[in-house]
Amino acid sequence: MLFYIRYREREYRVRVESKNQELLVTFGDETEQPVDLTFFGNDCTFVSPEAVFSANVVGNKTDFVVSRPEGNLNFLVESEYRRIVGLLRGTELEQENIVYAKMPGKIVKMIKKVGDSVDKGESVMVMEAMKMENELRASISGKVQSVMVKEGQAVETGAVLMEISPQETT
Amino acid sequence: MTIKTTKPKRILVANRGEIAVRVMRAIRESGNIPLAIYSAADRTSSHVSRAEAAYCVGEGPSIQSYLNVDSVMKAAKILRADAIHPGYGFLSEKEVFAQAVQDAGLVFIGPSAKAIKTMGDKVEARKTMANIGGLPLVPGTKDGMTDANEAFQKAKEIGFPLMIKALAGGGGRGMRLVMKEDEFLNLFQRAHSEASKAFGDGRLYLERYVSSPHHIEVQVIADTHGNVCHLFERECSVQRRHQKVIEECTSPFLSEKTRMKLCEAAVKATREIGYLNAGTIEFLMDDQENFYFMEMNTRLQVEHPVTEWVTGIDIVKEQLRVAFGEKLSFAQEEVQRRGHSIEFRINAEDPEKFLPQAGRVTGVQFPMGIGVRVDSHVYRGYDIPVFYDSMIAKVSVWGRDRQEAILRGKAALKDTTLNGIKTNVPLHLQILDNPKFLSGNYTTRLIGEDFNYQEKIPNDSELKMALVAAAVSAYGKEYKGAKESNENSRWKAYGREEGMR
Repeated sequence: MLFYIRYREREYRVRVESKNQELLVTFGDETEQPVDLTFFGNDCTFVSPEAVFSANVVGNKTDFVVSRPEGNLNFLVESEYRRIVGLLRGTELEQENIVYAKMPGKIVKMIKKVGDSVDKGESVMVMEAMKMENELRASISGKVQSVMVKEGQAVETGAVLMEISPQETT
Repeated sequence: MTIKTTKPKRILVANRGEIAVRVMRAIRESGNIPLAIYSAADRTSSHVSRAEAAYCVGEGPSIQSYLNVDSVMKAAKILRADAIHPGYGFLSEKEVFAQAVQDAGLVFIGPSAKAIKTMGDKVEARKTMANIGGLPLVPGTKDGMTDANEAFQKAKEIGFPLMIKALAGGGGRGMRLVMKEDEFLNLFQRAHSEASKAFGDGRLYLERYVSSPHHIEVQVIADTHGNVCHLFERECSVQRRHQKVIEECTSPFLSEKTRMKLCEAAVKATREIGYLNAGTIEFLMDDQENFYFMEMNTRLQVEHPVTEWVTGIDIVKEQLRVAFGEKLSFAQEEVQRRGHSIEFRINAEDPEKFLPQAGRVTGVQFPMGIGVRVDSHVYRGYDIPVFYDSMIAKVSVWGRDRQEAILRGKAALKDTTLNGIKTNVPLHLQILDNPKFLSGNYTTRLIGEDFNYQEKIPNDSELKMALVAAAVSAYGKEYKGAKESNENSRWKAYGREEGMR
């Protein structure tokens, strides 16, 4: 997943992936590298032969504060997915009744079809991304109103995949 | 060493926070029983859990709890206290409180009510210290005034620049610097209304302004057997708006000759005015090492640990001895200076704007190791109440010399993390890099003139690591949902780390 991070008028790109229980990070245009970084709660320790970096990292939506005794760093962190959704929909982010693609990939299996009832948290389709299968879930309970993709279709980050009409509470 | 066989005394600490914790430690160490009071907002403060018995004295606001003499006296009765240690702040320098303790037949661990009264009135204190104590004063008016025109006549005699100060003042309130004659009337009125509001006493006095002074204070202690000792001086010139930020023992500025002269003058004054128990005489010092009496604090000081480091004497334990009629455990000639000590006041505040911050401390790491001391009541999960001082810890260090103390201070501060709130730790770290501070010849103008806090820009490697840390944290948040529902998913690595929360 790609993140755009703003700090003091500059934007940095950091891509984070996880493979075989290892974190892989691509910083800007550099090559992908495994990193040794662990979190205990919000306390992060980042170990490398060049430096050890310890900090407390607190994120609230897109505002992240990295604090160390030397001072705090304030970052604006936006995932590629959020940025694209943001661009598509103005400033309005993520709607709960919509299932989005959080990264580029391929829809390998549809679980629900139009008219089906879904419960919150239930799997609605399976997407393959980075050679891994990932179940996409409904954020709300309701009925599948429309499906925008079919099995085998490739999708881009931020693509709208399915719309769910919320369950009416009577 | 003789083991005390007297019955342990029940000693109430009429205070809160770090100083209550510190005083209780001395109470236990001397074989006595610590008792606590607390406000409704302080129920979870660690000074409560460290006492042997505790009593709630009222609601959060100090005026309804720690400052309420009747409530505190009631607590003393219920807790069956034999003596009361007032700590600093709150009722520690209130004559009525010392008197109430005495009237109730309890021991007040501090000076007499009369001494508190005399020293609490700035004009009275100056008169007493000059006439009886023999200490030099900054030229100025002897009495408090409320009439601006009368004051203006006196001001012209003293000359400009001059300081307007509140008779009942403290903490910089009701205080104004007047650079030029034509500013005087306006500033006098403002100081007057500020003092009236803050202290209920609008009387002001005038003093010649010593530009670029050192704030140097001498720790004294006296027992009822006629022993009066000094424990050397402290340099407290790192201040912001008249609030101390860093203190050193001893002063890196003083010559040995002046040090002896200053400390002897302080001892003589303490003896002449018949002062008992621990006290601090504050002086202004100009660049020629001329010193002038400023005020006497009739209580334990926040910064007493630096003196304890350098002399090896536990001031609070000595206070207890003196209060119960014992002799000081040492004689003046036994008081030796060893090495150098620096204290950093850790405040919950924005280091840039100096705004206090209330909130929950979500993580705590205090420094450890040789020559490092932390006085604090804060723990992980502690909620900083909005009602009290923003100081949440004191980190003090000792080194064989000032250089070692500075380096140790830096290392200790880098080991100090208080998460969830902003603190002034970054400010301290920057002051320790300031050339003027490092030179040892700095004045109360250091902060603001020779030093200004600036947000530290990280170097490329630090920034890169911080960015990656933020990105991984954001990544973890994005996939929290996936992890919860799919144990064997590829987010396992992150999930495992999450499981440690």
